[in-house]
Amino acid sequence: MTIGWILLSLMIALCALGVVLARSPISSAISLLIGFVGVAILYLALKAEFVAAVQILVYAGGILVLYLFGIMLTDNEALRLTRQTHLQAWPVFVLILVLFLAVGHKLYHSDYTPQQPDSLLMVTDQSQVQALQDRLAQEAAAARHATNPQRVARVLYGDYLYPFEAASVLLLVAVLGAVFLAKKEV
Amino acid sequence: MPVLHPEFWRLLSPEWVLVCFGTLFLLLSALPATRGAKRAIGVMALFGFAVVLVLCAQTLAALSPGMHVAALTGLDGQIGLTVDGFSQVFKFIFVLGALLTVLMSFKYLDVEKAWTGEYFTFLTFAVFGMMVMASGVDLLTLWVGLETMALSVYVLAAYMRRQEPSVEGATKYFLLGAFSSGLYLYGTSLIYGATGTVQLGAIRLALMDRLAHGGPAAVGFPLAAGLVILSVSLLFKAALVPFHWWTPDAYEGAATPITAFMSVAPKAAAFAMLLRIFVVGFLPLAPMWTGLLSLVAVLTMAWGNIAAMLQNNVKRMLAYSSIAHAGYALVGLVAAGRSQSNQGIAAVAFYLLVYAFMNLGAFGLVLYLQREGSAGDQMDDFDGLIQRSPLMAVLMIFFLLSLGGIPPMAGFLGKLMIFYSALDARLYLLVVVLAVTSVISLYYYFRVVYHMFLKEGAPNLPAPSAGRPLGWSLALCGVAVLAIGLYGQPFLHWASQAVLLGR
Repeated sequence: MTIGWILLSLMIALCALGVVLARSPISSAISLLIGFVGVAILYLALKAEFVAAVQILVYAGGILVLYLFGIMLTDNEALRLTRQTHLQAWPVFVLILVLFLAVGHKLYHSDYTPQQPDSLLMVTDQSQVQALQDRLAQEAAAARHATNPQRVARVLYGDYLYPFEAASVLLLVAVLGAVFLAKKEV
Repeated sequence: MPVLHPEFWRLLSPEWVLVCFGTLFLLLSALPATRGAKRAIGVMALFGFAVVLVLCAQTLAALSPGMHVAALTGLDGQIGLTVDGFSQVFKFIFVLGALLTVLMSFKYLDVEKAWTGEYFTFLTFAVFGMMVMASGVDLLTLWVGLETMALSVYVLAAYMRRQEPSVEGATKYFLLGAFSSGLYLYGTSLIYGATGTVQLGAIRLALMDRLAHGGPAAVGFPLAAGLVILSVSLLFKAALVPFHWWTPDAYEGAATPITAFMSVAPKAAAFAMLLRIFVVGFLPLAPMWTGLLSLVAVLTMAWGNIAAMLQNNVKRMLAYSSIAHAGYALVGLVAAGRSQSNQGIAAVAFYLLVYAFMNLGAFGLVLYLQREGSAGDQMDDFDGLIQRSPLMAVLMIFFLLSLGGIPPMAGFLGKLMIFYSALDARLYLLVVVLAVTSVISLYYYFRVVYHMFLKEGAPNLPAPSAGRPLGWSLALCGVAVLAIGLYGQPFLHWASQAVLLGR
């Protein structure tokens, strides 16, 4: 099983690299497609069948087709010519690596002194913690009996109802912005 | 269901009223209309933001002394957001910034003949996104707010899409912004993987649990890396060094009122989110992130001020100065992480309020100098302003003194509060850097004064005209800068209401 995970993760990572590094946009799009399918398999393995189905339908089926349309309608030669090789890319990469290692080192060796819990606890009342844990356990128990879409629905329209509604404004803004910027007349 | 509770609608009235107004502007802008009718949308936007401003103040006043209402705590993840003193104080700042921006937009849109209803629609939805950023208590809700704001602001930055600098700046902003949003989600997924939750309260409990049982080593690399990646994306949004490269181009290219807006409201929103995430969710890791953020604060104050000295374009100069000011505010955030008191958060809230007035005022002067065929943003445009329009020159001096942190202006009091909170938290290095860089900043602020007073303006240049809305907004900013500076007590009290739920 672990081998399977590693292979799958490697495949997804390679596809992601392929998207960025491929010379022709079509190859990029195909790598992206394989990557999407890989992620869907990952979801399946995590027993999130509904999310896997949505992943295939929306990403592999919908968004990728849009990408392909976009590629068809743009000038491929122009895209190929603008491919850039930056001389400064390697030094920057080394710099980033050094910074990353430095930060990582700092993280491992910093001196954490846990502060007094009760001065920090947001719920000063211990019974509230208990109530929270009880509720979570209850929900977990209920979730075991629900089907996959039901569980997704419960999270989406229960816990995340507000961000879900706010996301509708987000999508509205995205559509409006695209239309506004593409319009001819101000 | 907490959603159907009447209290819910009352407490979230700023949000839903704002969305209603935004939708209304959207529908109205779809109607074929003359310029006069488009102007009417601007007047309605003014009215809308004024209403929401009142609602923000009202909801803040209605909060119980515990500063939150049980129906909405969201601490145990009921709906992912909360209404506390902190969120309402910040919402007030956003709406205030938007209100002044609308007032300032009238002249710009007249001169450029660029009236549309969409302008106000995007402004409204951007403020809605900011409100979600101030209220959200889980990483996903915060992200939705962040993206709503960011997408609206990208479009606004590209608003003058016939002008190349506007498109160039907006494109840079969009590409880097999209990348930083991706980073945010990546950091969130690492944190979720490590703690099993995206709710800030639960993250904090998980962290405390780990530190108590396994010590520092138990924090683990994924969690720490997730926090660093998350903070990178937020530092980008707040335009802090070294994540500030998009700022000068985006600010210079965008329409001047939008630049003014971008330098005030989205920055305040990014700070609201930084404060909420770091001071509520990641407080147990404060020794780690205060170190990182101190470094960022030093770099930001130093580089923002040094680079500002080299600019000849006033908009660009103000862009770098806004970077420096974000650095000052970051000192308050670090202080909030280091000490137990609420002083740091109150200092940041107060500073952002003051900064909104003085920075919008300074950009307002650029708008005042704008005329057909010139944006009025070159240093030379300020030449001899004292002879052409003495009142405006004096107002500009108010704003510049305030930005430089000279007493009796409001900016001085703001810096003093940051100063005190940093001293309280024993951040001596940051205090020294703050003081030294403030002195450096006087150089470029006084350059403008020099141009206004000692340089001869071009002969026969007509006195610029303000138009009534711009004049009002400038007067309001000027009075506020002076009044807060001379009598800051009520405003300080107001800012001290910014109590984070769960801190």
